[in-house]
Amino acid sequence: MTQDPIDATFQRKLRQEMKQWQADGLLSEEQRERILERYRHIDEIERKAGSGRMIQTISILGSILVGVGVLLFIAANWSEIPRFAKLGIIFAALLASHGIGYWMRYEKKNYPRVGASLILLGSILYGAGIFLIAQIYNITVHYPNGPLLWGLGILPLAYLLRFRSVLLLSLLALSLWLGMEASFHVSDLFQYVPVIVLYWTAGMAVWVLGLAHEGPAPSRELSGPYVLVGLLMTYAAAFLLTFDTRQENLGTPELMPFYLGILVLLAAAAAVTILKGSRDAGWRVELAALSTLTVGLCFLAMTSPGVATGPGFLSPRLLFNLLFAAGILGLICLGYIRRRPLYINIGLVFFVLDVVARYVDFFWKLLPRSLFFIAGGCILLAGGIYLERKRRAVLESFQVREDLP
Amino acid sequence: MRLKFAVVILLQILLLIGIIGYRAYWVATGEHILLQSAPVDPRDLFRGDYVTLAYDLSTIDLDRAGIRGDIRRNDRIYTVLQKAGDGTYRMASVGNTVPVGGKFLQGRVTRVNERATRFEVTIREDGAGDRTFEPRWFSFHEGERVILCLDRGGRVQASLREKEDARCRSGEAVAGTVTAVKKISFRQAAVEYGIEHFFLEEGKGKAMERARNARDLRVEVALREDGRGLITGLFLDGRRIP
Repeated sequence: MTQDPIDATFQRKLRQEMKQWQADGLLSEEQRERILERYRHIDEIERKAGSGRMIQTISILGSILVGVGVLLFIAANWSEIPRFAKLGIIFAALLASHGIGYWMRYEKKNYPRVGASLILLGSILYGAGIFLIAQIYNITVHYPNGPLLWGLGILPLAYLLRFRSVLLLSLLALSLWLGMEASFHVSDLFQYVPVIVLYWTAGMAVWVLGLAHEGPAPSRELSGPYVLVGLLMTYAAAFLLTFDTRQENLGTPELMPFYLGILVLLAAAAAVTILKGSRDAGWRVELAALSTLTVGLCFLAMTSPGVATGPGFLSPRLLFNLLFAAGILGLICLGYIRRRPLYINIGLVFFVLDVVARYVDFFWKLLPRSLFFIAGGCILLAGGIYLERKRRAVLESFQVREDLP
Repeated sequence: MRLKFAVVILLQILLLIGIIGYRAYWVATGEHILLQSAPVDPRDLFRGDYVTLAYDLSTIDLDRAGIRGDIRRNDRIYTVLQKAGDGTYRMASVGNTVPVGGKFLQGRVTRVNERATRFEVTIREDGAGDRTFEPRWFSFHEGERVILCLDRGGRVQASLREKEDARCRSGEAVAGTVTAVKKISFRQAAVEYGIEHFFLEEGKGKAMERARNARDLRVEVALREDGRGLITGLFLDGRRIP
């Protein structure tokens, strides 16, 4: 969605700016109070009437339900609806939701949030249209093309309207495509580690693409979905490799076009980040770490050395575990330095997952089952309380520091 | 802004129409052939009911086809087709290089079994000569009396020990004495041609499954010159399924 004028990011920036204006003598303390009061007033309205975010959430859920409903309607009446009517329904629904959404949001301007959700619905219906047309005409030739066409078809819309929801949908469709297309290239179906490594490197490249969008205002709004999808792909893939995968290769020559594509994407994104990216503290560290790791992993995947995951000191599995732990620590530190609650939250989620996984690895055989569960549960509860308090303290400190005179 | 929005939406519409046009062009320019098929599996939640169609050309004996060297998943396979007496096209030969001339289907290896087995069984029929069969599995020995149940294509569906109440449920039955049993191990590849799925309305999948056993299901395919096929229709007992 486009940036909400009264959302938290804006308020935070405003307060920061006002401090500077006050220091420069542009703004008196009284004026500052009055401006802040204005936003408190809006806060209050939101509290009473339901926040913009809530309206947005409800209408997005509505869009998804309508989209699923249209799909089910066509599927359930498959034989009764003639081919042209099926196509008519698809095109009419697509045009109507885009058209009405645009009209509500930009022409009439009376229901901007509902309008935005209708445009998201249009993007879902477009994807549904691809699959329904493939179904009507029995096109099953190369099915990864479906999500590819979906992702690419709605990407221009996300950029034109600066819709984060549509961008997120597009990125999800494209990541689905990545896995499907890769499986058409990997000859050994049971060798899944190369696909995990592929997602890992692609995730980091997408993350850097997010950094590249953090520069000037119009593109900044779109960095969020890239960073989110990149972070989740990176950490989920890296987490899978902390287990005993018993496999030999990180990559396969069959995936060479993908590695090259990822490296090109990374190079372009890194260049844009260096030229135009955000200059917040820590951006250099983040960019350097991500680029090094992506290039390194791609290189290892291309040359694909044997990765015997057996026991032994400094086995690859141990290295992946150390790397993953360092990655979590790094992400949380970055979140603190760059003031990104998202980094801290995702870092903590994967920290907890890692603790659980390693606890199971090490103690499953050693402890009697009942004791294993009781002890594990206690550790998790205590750890959860500790982490939650820590997380809140850290997130609050972002606000507090800004409120200091 | 309004114009740009319209252009972007137009792009989506054009992409969708493009898919339809692509298919229409394929159907218009491709040659239409009939393949004998058997559906296998029932439904997919996302796409409603559909049948998975298997063909005789879906599993390939690499040794018999004379394909040497390493065959792996995702390798291309070219199946040369020949018209049979009943109007359908059958597999004439298989290779991993593009054939020169003739009709052929282009497929993709999905699975390779390096140690598949089949049996070569010779039966001396009562009052007739020897006949050789190739059942998937055979557990009898030389000298034993057996009954083989054949399907319409002459393939062994089941083999039974000859007893008073033993009889085949359908198809032709061959009774006789086993004179030779040979177990042959070979390399087998499962191949996908992109003509394995046909979408149906809810509830029709079951009827298709029954048709599989009767083996009277034919698939009309629009075949491009590069060997890629696209299903244009399904015929059950000679009648087109809408």
